[in-house]
Amino acid sequence: MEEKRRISAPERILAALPFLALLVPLSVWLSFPWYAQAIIDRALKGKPFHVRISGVGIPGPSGVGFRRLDVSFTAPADSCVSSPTAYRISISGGKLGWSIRNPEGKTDPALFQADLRLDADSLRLNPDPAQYIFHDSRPKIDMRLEIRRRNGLSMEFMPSSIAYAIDSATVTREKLSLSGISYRILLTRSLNWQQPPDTLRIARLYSDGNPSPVGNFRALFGSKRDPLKPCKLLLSNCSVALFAMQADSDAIEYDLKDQSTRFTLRLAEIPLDSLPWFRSPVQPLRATGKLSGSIPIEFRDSTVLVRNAILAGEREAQIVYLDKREKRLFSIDLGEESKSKNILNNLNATIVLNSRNNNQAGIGVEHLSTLLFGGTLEMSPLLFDPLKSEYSLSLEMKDIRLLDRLRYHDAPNSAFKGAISGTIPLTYGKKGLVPGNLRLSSTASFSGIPVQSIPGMSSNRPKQPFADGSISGTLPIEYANSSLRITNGTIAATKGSALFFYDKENRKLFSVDLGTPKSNLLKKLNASATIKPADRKPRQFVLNALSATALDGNVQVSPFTFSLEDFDSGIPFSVKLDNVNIPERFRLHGDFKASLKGAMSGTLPVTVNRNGFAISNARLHSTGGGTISVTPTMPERTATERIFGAPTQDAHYTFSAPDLRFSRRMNGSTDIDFSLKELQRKTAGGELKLLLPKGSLSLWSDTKRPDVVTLRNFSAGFFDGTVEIERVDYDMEKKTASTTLKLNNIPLQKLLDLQGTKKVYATGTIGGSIPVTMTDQIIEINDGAMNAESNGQIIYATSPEERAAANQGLRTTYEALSNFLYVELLSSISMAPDGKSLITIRLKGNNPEFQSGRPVELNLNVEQNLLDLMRSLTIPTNVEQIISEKALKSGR
Amino acid sequence: MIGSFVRTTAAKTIIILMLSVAAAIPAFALDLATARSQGLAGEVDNGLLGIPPGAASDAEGLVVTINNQRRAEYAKIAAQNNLSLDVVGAMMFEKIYVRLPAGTWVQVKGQWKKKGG
Repeated sequence: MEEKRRISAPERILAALPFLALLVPLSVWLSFPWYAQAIIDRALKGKPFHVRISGVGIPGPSGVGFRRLDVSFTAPADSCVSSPTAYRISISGGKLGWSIRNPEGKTDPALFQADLRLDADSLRLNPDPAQYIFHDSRPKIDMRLEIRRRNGLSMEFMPSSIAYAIDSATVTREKLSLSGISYRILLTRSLNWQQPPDTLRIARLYSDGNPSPVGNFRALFGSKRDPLKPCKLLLSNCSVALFAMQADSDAIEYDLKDQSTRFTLRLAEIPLDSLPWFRSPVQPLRATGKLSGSIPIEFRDSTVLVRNAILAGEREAQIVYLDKREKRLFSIDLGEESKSKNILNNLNATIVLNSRNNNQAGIGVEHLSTLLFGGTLEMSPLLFDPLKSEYSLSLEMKDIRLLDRLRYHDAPNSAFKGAISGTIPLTYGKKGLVPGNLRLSSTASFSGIPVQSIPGMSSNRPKQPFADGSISGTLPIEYANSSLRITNGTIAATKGSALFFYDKENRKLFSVDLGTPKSNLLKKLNASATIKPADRKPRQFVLNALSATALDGNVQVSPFTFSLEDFDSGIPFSVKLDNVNIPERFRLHGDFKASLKGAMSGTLPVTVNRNGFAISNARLHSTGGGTISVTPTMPERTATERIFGAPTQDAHYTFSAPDLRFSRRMNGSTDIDFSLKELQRKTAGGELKLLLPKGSLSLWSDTKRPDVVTLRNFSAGFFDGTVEIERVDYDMEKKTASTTLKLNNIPLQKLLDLQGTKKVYATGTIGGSIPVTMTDQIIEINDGAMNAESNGQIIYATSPEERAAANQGLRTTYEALSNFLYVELLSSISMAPDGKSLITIRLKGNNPEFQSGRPVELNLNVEQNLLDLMRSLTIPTNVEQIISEKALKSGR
Repeated sequence: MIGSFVRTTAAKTIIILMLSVAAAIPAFALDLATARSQGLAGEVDNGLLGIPPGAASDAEGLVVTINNQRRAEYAKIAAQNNLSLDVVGAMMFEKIYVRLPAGTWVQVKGQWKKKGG
């Protein structure tokens, strides 16, 4: 208002016209939009600024709006910048507000102070030659002017300060963009228009619309230069987030002349647990410890060169893989305790910002190579496929010794070794980062893994471990085309490695020795498995092959396919054993000892599900055999007792050619059909041989009576005849059983031979059934019967001297028995629990040479304690004596 | 010295007894000879008779009867000389064997074969 009055004041000619006095300011006011540009031109005359304004509104009392304001100015070339740069600032939808007042403590009446405030919808800054576009929405710029009225109409504008707080601005350079830029520009005349230091913040760098791993940049800088380095822009207290890790640099000097810089980013004590990869609630990956590193960077010509960057883990830095119960399972040691101190060193990379290569746009990584865990990692040049609109690259790995740092927490003494080599192709497009057809190979070796820590081998009773010892081995692994292949792997077990099986009272029952101090437990381990389809669920796992040389034989698993869902219903596969030397490794504990020989062969069809495993119609057989010895512990005996006392209770069972067919259901119920070529029982008292014993055993089949073992359809060759048991239920806890032994076709001579006499000869066979009841290992026989199956001959041979010495009755018996042709032989046997037994034998027949062959009937009763007989299975030698003393009963 | 004397005496006695057994056998000689010549019966190296493989069972009764007799005789010899029946039978087989015509079935150590010419 004051200004308008001052403009109209010199028109003294028309001063008398009051209406004109009103009209002129009005017309000036109304025509402001048309001459605003002229005012600006005049005000900026001789200044290096060009301002174009359009769409100017009619000014209000404290401001004026405009549609667009273009300011252009040229920064001249100087010693730092070789060519001048033109800048154009476009402000649209702006409103310029002002307030004019006399400055405080005013001494000069011609001096005014104007505060201008520019609000706009947007501000753009375009340099020429085009390097970038700066864009800020809703900018607010404050400018203070000193206005001095000189003679007449002429006025001098003296800017005293400009303040522009940039907030959330962006800088775009073709496909690169920096977003979330903030910086407070404050230029004052009092500071000679030098920008005081302020913190520049850049929230994130985008490449082609995608966020890059670089963000959260901060640096403190102002416009004041070091007079010794006039062309260096100095940024201090710099920090940037690289892959979520905060990197710092105390100072970055940017050479304005060369447009280059060289500095080192420092990664100091970055807590690994602060990184987002180790904080996921769904991924079981955690990390502890801290990382440090340094990244020397050179920047020139839009190219970032990383030279010899280093990343090192501090002591106890680890990446941890947790199990389902959040317990540490595996970890990768990143700390300095490892042999090679650095995780990563000699990292070199060439990163082109705003690459104009046809194959890439935005940030292009042209080259990346590094030493990683003692090996090398190299990235191939990035390629762009215009048809698929995606980038591709591949990472080449060589001898990356990741396994050296692997720790298995269930086995603190375990160690791993191995280098990984291979190729990881990656594509980056609409679907994000997708790994392609991985090709990885490694020869992994491990040692000190306790057998107990292998899944399925752990025992919840620490005093009764299921397994002992530890394994080591080497597995050459290759992964390609979604297939995992192990070729010629070996696994060895330390001395003393064994699997244990316990009885009900937790006593060791038997064990299988796995120790292979000299040779390997598994050799030529070959396996091949495929996951398919790789991109769709449910995924199927195909085991194409699994075979190994184990204990001098071969083990082979049939190919099978399964998905994880199949664990509910069951996954069937079969294991084939060919001449595997398990029997030699079989050990019995307690009063038992086993010495077995020969290799096992057979097939085990197995079904595994979540609840356990089942075996259906497995068959295992061996051409070998062995001896199982039972040596009950006896109190210490003196030499005299050993010679004249009862014989030891030791029994040795020798068997050969076992052939087993067995099935196990998920509930543990097990049926075993067995046959042996021969089973021999040897005791101090004598031998018992069973030929081709076979039968069926059922274990744990009755859930109500889990201690009952049922033997069915047992038969064996016994002294050229057979012994059979139709069924016996043996209660392992009560040690009770009750059954009937059926004997058939037993040659009488064989039974007589057992007594060791040379005087009794017999032909013919006997058969019968013997009911046996066992209560707590005490045997009782109740009314067993053994009868001759056909006619035969019994000869009791006596010398003439014996006959001469005998009395009349006995001589008659001798004579009758010198060639007795029996037509009936009946015997019965009973034995009380204390071993007292009674055997009665009734013979009917004749001797053709005795009393003209008249029919004769003989009755013999044998009373004795049969326990010794049962133990030794020999007929006592006093039978002769008994026969001698029995009276002859004539059947006349 | 005494042992060898006993053995020599025993051997002499056995030979005498064997001759008497051999003399007793001819009572069935016709039948046995026929059975043996027809391949229905053969001599076993335990001094008893057996049925050769594949032969008809026509001679079974004869074989059982003769074997019972032989066993009784052998048992007597065995008892008198404190020997086992098997040993006496084996010695008897050797005596019988030399007198068998060629072509007669004999079983030695479990193997049946025809006596050579």
